[in-house]
Amino acid sequence: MTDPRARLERLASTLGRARVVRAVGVALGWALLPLAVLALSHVTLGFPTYRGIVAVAVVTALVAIAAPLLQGNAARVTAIDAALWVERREPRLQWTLVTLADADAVHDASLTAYVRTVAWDGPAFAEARRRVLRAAARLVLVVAAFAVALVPWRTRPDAGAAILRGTPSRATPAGADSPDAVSVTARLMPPAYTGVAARDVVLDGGVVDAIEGTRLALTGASGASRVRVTVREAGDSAVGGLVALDRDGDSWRATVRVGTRPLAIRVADGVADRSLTIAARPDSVPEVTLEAPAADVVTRDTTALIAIRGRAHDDIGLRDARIEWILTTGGGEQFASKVGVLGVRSGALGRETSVAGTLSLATLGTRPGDVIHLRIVAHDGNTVRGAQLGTSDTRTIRILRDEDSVAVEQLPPSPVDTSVISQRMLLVLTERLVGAERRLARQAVVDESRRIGQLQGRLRRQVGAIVFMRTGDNPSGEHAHFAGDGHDHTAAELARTPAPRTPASVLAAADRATAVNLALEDHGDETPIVAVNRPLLEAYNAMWDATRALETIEPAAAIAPMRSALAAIQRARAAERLYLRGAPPAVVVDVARLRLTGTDSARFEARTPLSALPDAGATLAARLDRALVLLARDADAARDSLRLVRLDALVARPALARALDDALAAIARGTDATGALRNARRLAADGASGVGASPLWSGALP
Amino acid sequence: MSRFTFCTVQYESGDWDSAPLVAANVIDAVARFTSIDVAPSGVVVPLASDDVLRYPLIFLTGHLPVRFSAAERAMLTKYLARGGLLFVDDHNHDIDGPFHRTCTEELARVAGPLARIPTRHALYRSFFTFENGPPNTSHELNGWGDNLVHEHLLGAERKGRLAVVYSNKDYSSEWSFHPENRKFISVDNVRFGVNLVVYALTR
Repeated sequence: MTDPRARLERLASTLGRARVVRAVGVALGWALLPLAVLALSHVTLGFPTYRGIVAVAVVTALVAIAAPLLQGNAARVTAIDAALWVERREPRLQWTLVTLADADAVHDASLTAYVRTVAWDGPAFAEARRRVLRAAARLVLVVAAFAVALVPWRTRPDAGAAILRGTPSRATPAGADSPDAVSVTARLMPPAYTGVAARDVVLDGGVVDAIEGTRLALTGASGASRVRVTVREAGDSAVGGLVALDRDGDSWRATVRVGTRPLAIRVADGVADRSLTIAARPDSVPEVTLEAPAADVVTRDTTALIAIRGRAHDDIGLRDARIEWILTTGGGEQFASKVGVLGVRSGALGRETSVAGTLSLATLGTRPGDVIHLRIVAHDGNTVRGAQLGTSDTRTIRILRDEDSVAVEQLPPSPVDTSVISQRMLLVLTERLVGAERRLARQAVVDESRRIGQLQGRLRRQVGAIVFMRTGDNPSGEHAHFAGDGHDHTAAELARTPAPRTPASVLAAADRATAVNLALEDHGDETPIVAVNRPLLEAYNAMWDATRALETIEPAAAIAPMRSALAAIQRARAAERLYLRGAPPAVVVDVARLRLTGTDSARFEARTPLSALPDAGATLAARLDRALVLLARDADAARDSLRLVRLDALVARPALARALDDALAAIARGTDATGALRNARRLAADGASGVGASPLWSGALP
Repeated sequence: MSRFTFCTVQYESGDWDSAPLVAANVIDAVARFTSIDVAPSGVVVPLASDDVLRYPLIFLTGHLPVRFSAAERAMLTKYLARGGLLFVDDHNHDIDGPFHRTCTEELARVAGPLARIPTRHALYRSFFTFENGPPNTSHELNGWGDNLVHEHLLGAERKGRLAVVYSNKDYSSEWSFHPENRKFISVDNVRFGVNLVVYALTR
């Protein structure tokens, strides 16, 4: 026999292994108990999630293992412990082995000799190994029990994750579930007035569009006792309202009505959850455009015929459209009005219709001072919230009195609109010519450039006619020059220009044309006439530059002035409308003299400061941040959170919702979603910083 | 904080400038009864202009039909969403006249349906106390026009505060006198204008 002390050390080691394995087995055995309770709850109530159960089981097992270790029960087995264990089984040793194992005891060579006479180590090692094997066998049993509890969910690919995600697994799609899952049919039924047929949808966690008033019918042939349908509206803080089921035996039916906000619908049956987001789309109000008259009308002619023309468009269908007029007569404090309609169209008008009519001022019996307001109105056929009214802009027809000191007989003539189209067309032609210049023969370039130049010149004359007709000047001027206009004028050119214009001369011409020193309103120093004419004059001059470049076969050089001309015409079109009544009298109050001279006393109630409104954008951004943090720990829970953020973003932040769609699609495909998530994060951050930044109220103009 | 400036809004369809002296009278009353730093004259701002966003209270009046342009409608929607107060007064004194019908229709599209403002509303206690709601005008008391005393103003709220105050009482006529003539008035109901200003600035 080798040294008894060395043998004892080896025995202690073997016994220690047996104790550790046994402790692990016992701990896992205890962990099975809460696991079983949670699994039962999950199956019956759908709570907690699979991953939650696993987490609880692991934590419980770790605690169960750590507890005996911390208490010292599973501390290392020493040689003395091993010796005592042997002595209890071999009385012949007479405590000699313990004495030999005790390093502090006085050792005698006779002790060692006696211990060697007793055959203790063979049986002891055999028993110790049996203990190890028994503990290991128990551990295997417990682990098998864990596997029985947890593995069934794992053996169905993605099924456990689907519970977390709220979506059916790819392996068990809706309608073709595993034997335990309830088969669900979902059908979207738009309102009858839309004429859109019902369609089936799949509860696959995606987003579908539906118009307001649509009903989602969910039906199942089984599982009436365990199916739960919940609905959450975008913006709701609640988890989701429970939808009442219409049960018939084991089959069931639930109906959800789509309102104005997006909805998230979940169908849980204890085995799998399915979800669908419905992006509610309101029925648009009809868009109505009044094409003629194109601007307000001022006239002295009480017998004029006013041609009215317009269009109406609706996303689903129009029910009626008509021209509506209000004639107001009177003055001072006495006004009377008449209301009428023209060009009524009704019935199934489709998505687009036109309306036209002629208003005879003579038939209406108009008199000087009367005002007529015209507009086109149209209703759609919405039966959910009632027919919706769309209106065009209103045109005002004013019949001038003799004493009205207004020299403006009409607003900027409509040819300006034609100029925009033509100028844009010429610009496009020139750009094409420049692009094709290298491929074309020289003569072809020359011909095309001159042809465009001629068209440009003709258009320029039209604009000149508009400008100078309204300023009362001679439209024959070849080019309107003024100091600092940037043109390189030759002496010959200047000589051909009989009266070079300056801004001052143009303003003077405009004032002459209006015959009054108009200071209609506070628009700087410009009268509306000049506000329109200045950009037209710029366009007129830019067209001259363009014409010259085209006639000298330099089409590339013509593009810049052609663009300037187009932009100037656009500005002229956007110039303020004319206000004929002039500015109100300015009364300046002597505030300092009056300050607190009032004798009436006030008694007002105490006010409490208002709290700042929550910033919806910042809230969404914070929720997105939390979901992104969660992504590293629990991808499925993070995906659920992202879906809810997307739901709330559908109305308030559609761009963010689209970005989240991309991210969720990438996650579903198993591809890298970093870029899409980064984009979503950027959009959320942009919204958070820009929303609600109202300026301070500031009555003082800078 | 910058000074308060009374703002009259200019809209395209009607006679927005029918009561040019209202601004001066309200400014006079604000100076007379409060320490609010007030600009000595009002401003006129097109309703379609971004400039309206600079004023906490804007005033709209007229006799003729009100039809907002798309730009005016959009800007007014933005203004109300940002916490501004629109005070509208029908310069007519009639029932269901052209201004009333068209303006309330337009306001309903922008701010939602108008409802009666109760006489206990904070608007009537924001500075002076008007126990019986909006002060009556001489037009009403003299039986002019519709021969009716309008007991209530109409309004629309946003997040617990008035965003639109609509009046059929013809304050536009009542307050459209030169401030120097205030001494001849026995009952100064321009004080209600002070309430409007204080409400707009503090609520």
